[in-house]
Amino acid sequence: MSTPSLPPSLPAVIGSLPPTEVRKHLTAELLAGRAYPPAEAVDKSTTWLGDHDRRRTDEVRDLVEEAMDRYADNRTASDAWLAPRLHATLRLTRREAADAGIWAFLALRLAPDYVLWRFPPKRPKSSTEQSSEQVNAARFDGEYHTQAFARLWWTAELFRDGPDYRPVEVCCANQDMLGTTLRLDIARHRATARALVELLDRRTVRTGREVNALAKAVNTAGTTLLFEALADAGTTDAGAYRDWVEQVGVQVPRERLPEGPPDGSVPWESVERLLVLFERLFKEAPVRGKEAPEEAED
Amino acid sequence: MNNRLFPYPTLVGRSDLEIHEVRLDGMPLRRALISPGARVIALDRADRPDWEEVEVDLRLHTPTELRAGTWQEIRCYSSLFEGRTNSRSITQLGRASDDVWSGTVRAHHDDHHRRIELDALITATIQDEPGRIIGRATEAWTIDLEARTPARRNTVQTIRADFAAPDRPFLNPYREDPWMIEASGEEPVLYINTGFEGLDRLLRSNDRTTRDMVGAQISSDVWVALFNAAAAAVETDVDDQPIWPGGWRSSVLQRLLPDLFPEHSLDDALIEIHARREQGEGADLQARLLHAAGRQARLPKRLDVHIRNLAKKENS
Amino acid sequence: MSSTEEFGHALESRLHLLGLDRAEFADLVGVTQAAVSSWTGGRVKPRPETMRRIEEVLNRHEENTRDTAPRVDTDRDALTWYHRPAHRDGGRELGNAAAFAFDTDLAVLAREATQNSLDERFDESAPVRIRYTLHEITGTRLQEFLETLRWEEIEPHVESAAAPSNKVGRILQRGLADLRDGGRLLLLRIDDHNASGLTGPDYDDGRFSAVIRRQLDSRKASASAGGSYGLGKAVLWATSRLGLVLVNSELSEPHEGHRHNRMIGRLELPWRRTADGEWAGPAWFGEPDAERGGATRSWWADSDTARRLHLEREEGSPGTSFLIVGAHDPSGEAETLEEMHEALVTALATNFWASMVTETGGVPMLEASVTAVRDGEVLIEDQRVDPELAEPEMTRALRAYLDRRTTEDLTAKHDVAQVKVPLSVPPRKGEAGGSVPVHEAVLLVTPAEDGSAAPNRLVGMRANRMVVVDQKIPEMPLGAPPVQAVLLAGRAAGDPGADAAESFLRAAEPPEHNTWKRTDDLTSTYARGAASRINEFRRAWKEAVHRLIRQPESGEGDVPPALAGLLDLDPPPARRSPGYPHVKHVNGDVREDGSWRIQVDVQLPQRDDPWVVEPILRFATRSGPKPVVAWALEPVTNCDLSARGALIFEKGARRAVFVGTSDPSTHPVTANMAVVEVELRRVSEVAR
Repeated sequence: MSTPSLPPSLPAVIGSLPPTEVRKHLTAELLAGRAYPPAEAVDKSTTWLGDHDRRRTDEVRDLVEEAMDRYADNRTASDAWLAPRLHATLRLTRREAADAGIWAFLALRLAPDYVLWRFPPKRPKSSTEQSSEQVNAARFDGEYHTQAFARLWWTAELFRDGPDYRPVEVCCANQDMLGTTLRLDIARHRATARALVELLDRRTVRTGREVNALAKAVNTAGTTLLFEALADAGTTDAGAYRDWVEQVGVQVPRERLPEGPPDGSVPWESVERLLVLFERLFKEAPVRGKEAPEEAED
Repeated sequence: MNNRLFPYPTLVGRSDLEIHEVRLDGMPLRRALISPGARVIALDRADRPDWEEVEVDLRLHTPTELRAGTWQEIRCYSSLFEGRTNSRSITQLGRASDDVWSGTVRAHHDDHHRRIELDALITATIQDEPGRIIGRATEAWTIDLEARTPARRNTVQTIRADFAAPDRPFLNPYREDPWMIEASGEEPVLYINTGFEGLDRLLRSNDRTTRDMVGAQISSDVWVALFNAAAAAVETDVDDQPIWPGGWRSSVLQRLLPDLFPEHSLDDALIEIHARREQGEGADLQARLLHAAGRQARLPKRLDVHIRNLAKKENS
Repeated sequence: MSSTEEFGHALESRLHLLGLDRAEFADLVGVTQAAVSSWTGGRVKPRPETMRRIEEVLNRHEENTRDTAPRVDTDRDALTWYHRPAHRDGGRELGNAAAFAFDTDLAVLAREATQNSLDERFDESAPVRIRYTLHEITGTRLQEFLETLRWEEIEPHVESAAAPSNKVGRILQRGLADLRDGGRLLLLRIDDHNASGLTGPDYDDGRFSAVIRRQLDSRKASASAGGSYGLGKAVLWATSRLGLVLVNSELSEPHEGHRHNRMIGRLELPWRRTADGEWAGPAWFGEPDAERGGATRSWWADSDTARRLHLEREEGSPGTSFLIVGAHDPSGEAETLEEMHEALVTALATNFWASMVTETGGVPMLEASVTAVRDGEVLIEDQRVDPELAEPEMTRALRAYLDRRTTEDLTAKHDVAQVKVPLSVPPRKGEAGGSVPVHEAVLLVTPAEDGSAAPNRLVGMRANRMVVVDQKIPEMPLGAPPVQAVLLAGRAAGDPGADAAESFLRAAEPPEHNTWKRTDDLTSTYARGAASRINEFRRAWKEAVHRLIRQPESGEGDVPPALAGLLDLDPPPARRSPGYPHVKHVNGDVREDGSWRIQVDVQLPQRDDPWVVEPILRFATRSGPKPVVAWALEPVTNCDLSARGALIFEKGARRAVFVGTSDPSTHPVTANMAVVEVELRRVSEVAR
C-alpha cells in the first residue's frame, strides 16, 4: 500500500478543529491509510491558537518525524521517547489540553502519518466478514487515553514527578501499564501514579497479567480507601507551571531526558506508604490475572 | 435501589455541604451566583475572564451518628474533581464544632475546563487500617466555569443561527435545512436556522398548537440523532462487555432505553443495543427508537391536540 | 391648649404650690423675671437646657418644702363610683364605639399598650421596661380586691347591662359568670417604667384625661408617636370582660405637687337602667370632686390600698400600670393562662423585636417580659422577650446596621447589605411649594437560613421600631436565593427628611397600624398625590431587593417556548416498580475465610412466565469496568436454580430471596478492601 503524501505546507501555528469537522474527515480512505484529509478544507475550519511563539508547528513536526525515524523498527518503544518530549515541546495548561480539537488537529492535519505509522490499519476485532483493515478511528478522535497524541501528553502530565520525566519512561515502556492505568481514575493522584510505576520499576510486577492484576486491585480497593488522604501528593505550584508553559525558545534535547515543569515533587514518604499498601493488596489479591491461580511459579 | 455493600459499617445519616463564601482572586462572589437549591456556583464573570484562582470557604455538617459511633480517627475532606482535565485534589477540613467541619478549597483556572465537582468525604480508621471511606456529602456541588446563572444546565443547548453565514462554516452545507443537530462534540447542540424564513417566528408564535407540533417534530429528530450518536459510541471492555460512554451520551441512553426496552434493566438494555448493532439487526431497533424518541418529544399528545384543533376549525 | 400654654399652666400651679414668687424663681433659675412671665403666660416655652435647670430648681425646692407641704393620701373610705347619667334626650350608646373600631385580641392589646409606652419614653438614655403580668386571684385575695374596689356599687350596673341580646352584653354575662360561679378573677397588669405616666390635669387636656376621660383623643408628646387615632386605649377596656380597668401612675411631672400613686378606675358599660336610674356609658372610681357635682377624680393612694388593688408601684420610677379586671382574649383564641401568656409573648416578639435590638453593648429602646401568677404563686417565670429567638436573621441584620457593619452587596453567607430607598414626602395641604425633602429610608437585606420557615419577608418600621409592614417580598424570581429584609423609615433611618417622613408615614397608618396606605388622615393632611407617593415607596423598596439578588440574564442559548421541557438531559427518576426484576435490598458480611455471604431481596414485576436471571456479583471500582467474581447461589424464597446455574423465579411471585457466597479465589483484592455490587442480568430464554 502506497503511503499518501502529506500536504507540502504546514500551517505556522497549532489550531483546534471543531467536532463536526473532525467527524467529517474520518473517512474510510483515511482509516484505511490511503488518503490524508485535504489540508485546505481543514485549515478553513480551524480555530488558530494565539500566542504564536509557543504554538509553532515546526517544532512538533520535527519531533514526530524524529520519533518515526529512531524507532522505525520498534514502534511501540517510541512512546517512551516521544511522550516526555512532546509534553516539553507542546507546553499546555490542563485547561488547554482538555480541548479535544487540538489533538484532532495534530492527528488530522499536522501528522496523520504518525497516527498511521504508530497504529497501522488492521482488521477490526468483532467483524465477521472479510472487512477491510482499518485504523481505529479513536486514534484520531478518541478520548484522552486513546487518541494518538493525547495519550502521550497525558501520560507525561500524570506520571511525571514534578520536573522528573523518568517515571513516564518507565510507564510507557510497559504497554499494559500505559494502556490500563492511564484511563483509570487512580492515575489522577500523583502519589498513586508514582507508586504504581515504582512497583513496575522494582519489578514487583512484571508481566502484563501482573500489571493488570495490580491495577485492578488498587482500583477496587479505591472504593474503600481514600488514597489521596493516606498519601499527600503535595501541593502543585500552579504559578511555576504557568511560567514553564510560557517559556519560549527552549531547546528540547533528543538524547538526554528533558526537564519538566518544576512545580513540586511528590513527597517520598507518601509514595512509600502507598508502596507498602499496594504491595500488600497485590500480594493478597487472590486473582493474579486471567489464568487460574494454581499455575506453577514462573 | 440499594445493591451495594461495604465491608464495614458506614454512615447512614445525611451530610450536608454548605458554601459560606466564594472568592475569585480574593474578590468575593455575589451571593446571587451561588444557588443552594441547585447546588451550583456560577463563575462566569464577563468582567473578570482572566481570573487565576477560585477559593471556596465551605462547611460540612455531619450527622450526629458520627460522634455516637465507634469510628476512630475521623477525618473529613473536601474534594475537587474534573474529568476533562484529569484533575482531582482533596483538602482536609478542620473541626469547627461538634458536627461541623470547615475549610477552604482552592482551584486554579489553568487546571479546569468547564465544570468542577465539589464533594466531601469522611474517613476513619477501621481495624487499624486508616483512610477507610465511611461517608460522603449527600449532594455534591458543581462549580460551573461557564455559567452566568447558577442553574443546573442539563438541557440540549439550542442555538439560533443563520446557516448560510460565514462565521459558522460547518453549517453552510445545511443552509436549506430548517434545523441541524450536532451530536459529535463534547455537548450536543441543536441549531435552528434563522435563515429559514418564518421558522424562528413560528417557534415563538402565539398559535400554541402549531408551534408545539413543530417543536415536537424537532425534538423527536434531536432524540433520534442523539441516540444514534450515543449508541455508536458504546465501546467494549476487555471482556467484550459494553461500557457506558461518558457524559451526555450516557444521559441520552438512560432517558431512551427504558422506552426502547421496557422490560430490561439499563445495563441489560445496553447489552441489547450493542448486540443488535453488532449483528446488524438495525431495523427493529429503529422502530423502537422512533417510539422512544416520540415519547420524549411528547409527539403523540401534541399531534392529538393539533388534529383536534384542525377538526374544530373545519367544523366552525 | 397648646403644649406651651399647658407648660405655663403647670409651672404656674407648681410655683403656687411651692410658695415661690416669680422673682425668686427667676433668680434661682438664672433668668429674668420677664422670661418667667412669658413662660407662665403660655407664650414661650423654655429651651431644653433651661427646662432641665427649671426642673432641678423645682425639685430641690420641693424636697426642701416637703415637710411644710406634706402629702395627704386620700382616705380609702372616701372612694366611690360615679356613673355618668343617661342622656336627657334619651340617646343611648350600647357599647364603646372605639372598642369595636377594629377586631381586638391579645396581640392587638400588646401592640397598642407597648406602642404607647414606647412613645411615652421619659429618659432617652435608658430603655422603657414593660411587664405584662397575668394574675388569677381567688379566695381572700379576691374578696379583699372586690371590697376595696367597692364592687357592690357597680355590680347591679354590670348585671343590668349584661344582656344576651347584644355582643357587649354577652361578654359581660360571661365575665359575671366567671366571677360568681367560678369564684375567680383574672387580672392582667401592664406596667411600664421609664415612661411619663399619666400626667396633667384630671379634666383639661393632658395625658391623664386623654386616656381616662376622652374617647378619641390622641394627645401624644410628639409627632412620631405611634397611635394617631387614640383608639389604642379602647383596647384595654375591650380586653376586660367586665369593661373595667384600674390605673396607677407614677408621674414624671408632679401634679398638685405629687407624683406617686395617682390612681383611678374606669368602667365602660353601655346604657343601663338600675334601681337608681338610667345611666349612659362610663363610670369612674376615685375621690369625689366637690367642684364637679360629685364626679370622681383621681386620688393619691396609700401603699396599702394600692397593694389591695394589685397595683403597687415603687416610688421614683415614672410610668403607668394598667389593671385589666376580668381579662380575656377578645378573639377567643387563647383560653387558658398558659395560652394567654404565650399569645402575649409572641405578640411582643413579633411586633417589637426591633425595639429590643441595640448596637453591641448598647442600651435598647425597649425591654419586655411576661409572667403568669396564680394567687401569688409564680406559674411562668418572668422572662425577658429575646429578639434573637423571635427573629434571628432580622435581628442580626438590624444589629449589623447599628454596629455599622453592613456591606453594599451580598457575598458571604452572613452578610447584611444596606441600600437606600427614596421616599419623597409630599407637602402638607396649604403649605406653599417649598422644597420637598426626599427621605432616604434604609433597607437591610440578609440571606435567609436554609430551612427558614418564612423566607423572603420584608418588615417596615418607623421611629419606635414597632413592625408596621410585614409582607412577603413580591415577585421574587424563581430560584433566587431566599432573603430577609428590614426597612427602616422616618426617624428610624435618620436624615435627610426624617421628621417629615415620620409624620407622613404615621398619617398613612390605619388604626391597626399594620400597613402604610391611603387613609383619611393622609388625604386630609397632605396635598394631592400623597397616596401615590406611598405606592412609589412600595415599588422602590421592592426594586431595591430585586436589584440586590439579581442574577445575570442568560445568554443567547435560551430555549424557544416550542421546545421547552422537551430537551432535558437529566436522568429520569428511577421507577419504583420497573418492568424487570431488580435488587430491592442486600445484606451481608465478609466471613473468616474471606468470602462475602450476601442475602439478596429481589422485587419482581407481574408476569405470567417465570423470570430467569443470572445474578452477578461485582467488585466496585473507582472508575472503569467492575471485575466480576464467582459466587455460589442458594435459593431461599420463590426461586430455584436452573441447570445452567441461573436463577428461575417462581411464576407470578412478586418477591424472592436468595443467598450468594463468593469464591475468594476469584476476588481481585481481599474482600475487606472493596465494595461489592449485585446485579441481575437477563438471561435469554432461548437455550444458549
